[in-house]
Amino acid sequence: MKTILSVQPTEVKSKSRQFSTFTIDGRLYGIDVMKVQEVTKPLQVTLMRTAPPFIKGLINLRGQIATAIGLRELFGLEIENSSEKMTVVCRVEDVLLSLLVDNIGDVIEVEDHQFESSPQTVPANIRAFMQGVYKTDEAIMSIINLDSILSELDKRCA
Amino acid sequence: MSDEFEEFKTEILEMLDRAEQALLEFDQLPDNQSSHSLYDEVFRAYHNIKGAAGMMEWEELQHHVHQLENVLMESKETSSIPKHLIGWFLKGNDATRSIMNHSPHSFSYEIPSEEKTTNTAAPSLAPIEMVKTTQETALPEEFYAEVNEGLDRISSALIKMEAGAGDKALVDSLYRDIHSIKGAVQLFGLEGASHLSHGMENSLEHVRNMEKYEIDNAHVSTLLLCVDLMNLCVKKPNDEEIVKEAKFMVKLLAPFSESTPANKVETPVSSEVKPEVKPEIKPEVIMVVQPSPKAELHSQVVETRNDSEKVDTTIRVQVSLLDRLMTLMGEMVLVRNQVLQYSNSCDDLEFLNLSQKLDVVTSELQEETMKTRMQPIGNILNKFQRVVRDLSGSLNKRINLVLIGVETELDKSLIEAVKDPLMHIVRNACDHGIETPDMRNGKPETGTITIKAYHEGGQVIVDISDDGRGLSRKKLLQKAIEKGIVTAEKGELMSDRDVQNLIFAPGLSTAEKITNVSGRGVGMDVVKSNIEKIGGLVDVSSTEGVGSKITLKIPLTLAIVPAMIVRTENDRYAIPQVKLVELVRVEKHAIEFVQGRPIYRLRGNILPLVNLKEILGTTAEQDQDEAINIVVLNSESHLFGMIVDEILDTADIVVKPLARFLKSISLYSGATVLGDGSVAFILDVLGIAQKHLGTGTHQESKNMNDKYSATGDDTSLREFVLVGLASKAKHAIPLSTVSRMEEIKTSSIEQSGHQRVIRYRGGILRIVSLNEVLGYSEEKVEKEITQLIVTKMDDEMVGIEVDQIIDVLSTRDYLDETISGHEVITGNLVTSNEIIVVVNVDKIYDITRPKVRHTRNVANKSAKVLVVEDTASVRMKVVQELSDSGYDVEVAVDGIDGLKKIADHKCDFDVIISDIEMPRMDGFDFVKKVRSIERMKSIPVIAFTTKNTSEDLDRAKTAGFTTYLEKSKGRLLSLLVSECLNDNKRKTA
Repeated sequence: MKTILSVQPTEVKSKSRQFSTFTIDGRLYGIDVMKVQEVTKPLQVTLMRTAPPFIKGLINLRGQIATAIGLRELFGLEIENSSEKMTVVCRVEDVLLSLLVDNIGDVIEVEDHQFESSPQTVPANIRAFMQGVYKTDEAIMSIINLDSILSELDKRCA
Repeated sequence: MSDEFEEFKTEILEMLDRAEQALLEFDQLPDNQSSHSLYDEVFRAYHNIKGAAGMMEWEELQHHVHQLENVLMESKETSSIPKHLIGWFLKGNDATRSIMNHSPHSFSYEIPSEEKTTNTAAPSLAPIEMVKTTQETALPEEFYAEVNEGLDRISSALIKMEAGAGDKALVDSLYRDIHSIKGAVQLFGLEGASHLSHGMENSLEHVRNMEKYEIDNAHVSTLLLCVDLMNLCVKKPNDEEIVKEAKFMVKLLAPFSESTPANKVETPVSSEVKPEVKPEIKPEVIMVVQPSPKAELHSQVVETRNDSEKVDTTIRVQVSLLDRLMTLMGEMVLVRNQVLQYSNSCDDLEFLNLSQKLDVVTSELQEETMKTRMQPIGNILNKFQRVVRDLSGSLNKRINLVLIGVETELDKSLIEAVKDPLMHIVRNACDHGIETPDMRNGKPETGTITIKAYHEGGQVIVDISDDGRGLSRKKLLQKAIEKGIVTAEKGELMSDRDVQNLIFAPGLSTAEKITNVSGRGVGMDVVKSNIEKIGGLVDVSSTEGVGSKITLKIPLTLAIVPAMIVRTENDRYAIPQVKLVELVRVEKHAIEFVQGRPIYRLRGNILPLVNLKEILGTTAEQDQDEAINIVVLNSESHLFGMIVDEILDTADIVVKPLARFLKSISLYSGATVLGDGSVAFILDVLGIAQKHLGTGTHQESKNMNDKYSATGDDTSLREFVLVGLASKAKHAIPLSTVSRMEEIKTSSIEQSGHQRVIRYRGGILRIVSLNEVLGYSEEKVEKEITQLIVTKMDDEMVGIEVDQIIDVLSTRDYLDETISGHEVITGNLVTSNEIIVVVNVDKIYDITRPKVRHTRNVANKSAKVLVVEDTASVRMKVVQELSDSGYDVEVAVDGIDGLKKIADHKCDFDVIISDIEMPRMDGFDFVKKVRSIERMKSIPVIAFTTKNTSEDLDRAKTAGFTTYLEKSKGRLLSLLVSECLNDNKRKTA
């Protein structure tokens, strides 16, 4: 309440946002925490035959059906020694997606001034899904854009 | 807070209704007779409302009801309400409702004295002031629903009465419905609708007084028109035009009502809202003086009214709430299934017991929940009475519609979904099925359409049968072959059933002429796809001359589907029972192969087989099993078998949609959660059939689609019309340029200058002989009929004359454009066994057009043209075009102006172009006048017009026009002018 009355100039400039983080191949990724419905251990997956490899199948999330997406396959990463131990369940435009990831990290709070767009050297196939990066003290976090994941799924399955 | 308030409102309205009902019952009792129960009912209602209003701190309401209560208290001793006060109380109730809606009212709290009422001889009458409560705000949805339902009932009641089925109950209910609509629309200040309802009520009055309840047709027709208009009134309450129309309609109704005083049998309920009937005359305060109602009639109305209100214990619930309930129910069924599955592997007796109970309760709950969305199919079927009545009138047929099983219930969303298809089928039956009375050889003159709805095997079956002319195999086949849906050879071999099913093929209509009722070539295919979309089936059976029957099989609900669970490898899949015909288990060696494709002889018929494993791409070829499980499936009336590893069980599954990006993978139509909590895909039988079988009709229709999407792309499918010419090689004309193929009589070809033309669809069509263009020597054989390929490019049409139309060729073969012996030849199509010459239609246009232009330009350089046209833009365009071609152009704005221009000009025009539709003097009169001038007798006059029916054109010829041109072909105008000039020159030479 107080801050509303006496807003600091710096606070206006840089709003803080929270990201749910996870790692794939040791790299740190973040998804807007508001978009994440829950984080679960991998549930039993029903394989979807004839579907592209990044569609892992369907899972039953307490009566709701989510589509399991292999981010490694979608990003074109190494799939040889994949060690996906967790899933991040997100809801985008009424579609329930369950993203397979290696490990779950903390929810990280970052400020706008820490943001930078993706470096040019990031391969285009991954950059397409990235909103940009946040520089935290410990590491650089790549922000996943769920909308572009959905539109890419639409495109690749069509 | 707002929810609480809504609840409060609902409660008060309910109490008011109860009070109202009690008051009305009082009204039926002899004067001043006491009734404790009724009195208490009214008193309690008022008292409670007062209390509730106080609690909600709604002073206005509280005060108002308090007044009512006070007056009521005065007669507490006798427990009776004097007749003269009942109207006052009812009025007070209405004012209560107005307060609730925050709309103005001016209820007079002055209690009517008995003397006053006896003086005016109107017991229900009190000095009541009412202002018109015109609300510009949107009307509540319930109001629409109510009025619509009422209007529907009125329609069907009227039709029943017309058929002579009127009895007291029907007339009363009809009257009541009109009356309550009147009340409702007056309440909301809908002027037009209130006039209408009042007029309808009046006109029906004498019918109610009659012994036999008869009503004449004209009256019914007018009343039905009123119903339609009422619909409009309610939808557009502020439309002045509609209100005017409504008033006019009331005048039309007037002759039907007897000259008895209009308000003779008004019920008290209506009389109190009476002042609103003519609000535009006296908007502020109206006193109404009414003659005393006939006691016995009056009580009749009240009696029936009461009956219906007692029965009416329904409430209105938002559909979205029911949808949510259904979804939750689905979830609950899933949980139940999981519990049951778990209980099977558990020896805890207590738990087993509980899970059994849960099972029973859930099943019952599921059933009841489903029922909440169920509606009798009669809701839509009854509407068809009206449709059939109107149609039979306009088609000059006599048709009787019989409805059986109107009480059969199915899901509301499904009712909506089948409404349009049903409507289409009924209209078709009226239009094509039932013959006109003189054509019904030996059958009763009145045709019968029967709609029968019933439950069978978890589905609702709707049969629509007519005793009309039935489907003609010959006509159907002929049409189908014509449209390229089947080939002639294939048609010969088709079974009657298959032929009849052709009516569901896209683009087929057997109606000889297109009427506004049906027959546009779309329809039955849409019916089929719409019904299949909701998991239903359509079938047709017909006997020529006896009638046809169309059967719809509709699932009860969409959300929960009975399905068969099958297994292949380690995956389980659900197949909807609707698609399932039977299960077959056969020895492996019973499978035979046709061209390498597996088939099975199912009771002597060949059943094509697909292997689910192959479809899914899990080709682990290790069938050690000696027996094979075949699921026989039905897709668009074609049977096929699917080989699966194991048939597991049947289950009621809850259909879950797939994420949208998965829909393009056409094997699956959805997913479901099985009893053990795992997800299983629902197989899309239709999709599988289309992908892996290419069932008959589908493949054909795909070809049809390709035809229209054919592009010039080298790898894509192209289509050509193969034609025979005076050359050994076959020639091909790209189908994309062809608009029609015609067979014309050579005698119909006329000469226009050097150009051969025919009259074609109200215009002229240039004819180009392909033999001539390509320089093939044509044998001059006088043929009676010649083949014409009508091509169309950029709105210009040319008829290409060929010797023979051989076939339509669709090919992906390579088009070699390197060798071209002639400018109108694009190249050669190299097929496996021959070379086909492809004609360049574009070039034909080019080389046939400029030649004519050229001659004209030289010959008629200084020709004078008069253009008579009233539309400025057209005039400018024509002048532009003609001046560009080198003519000297003069304009006139109408016939009179044109004649003046002719008179003014000492030197005459060479050609006159005239519009037909013009003010002051039209083209017909103009040309007659022109022809009456001696020196103008032979001048070419061209009608330039949009009137192009053959009558118009004949009339134009007789009036004196030399020729005519459609305005849409304006480009050809200068060409036509030059031809006319040439012709004229030859004649005069």
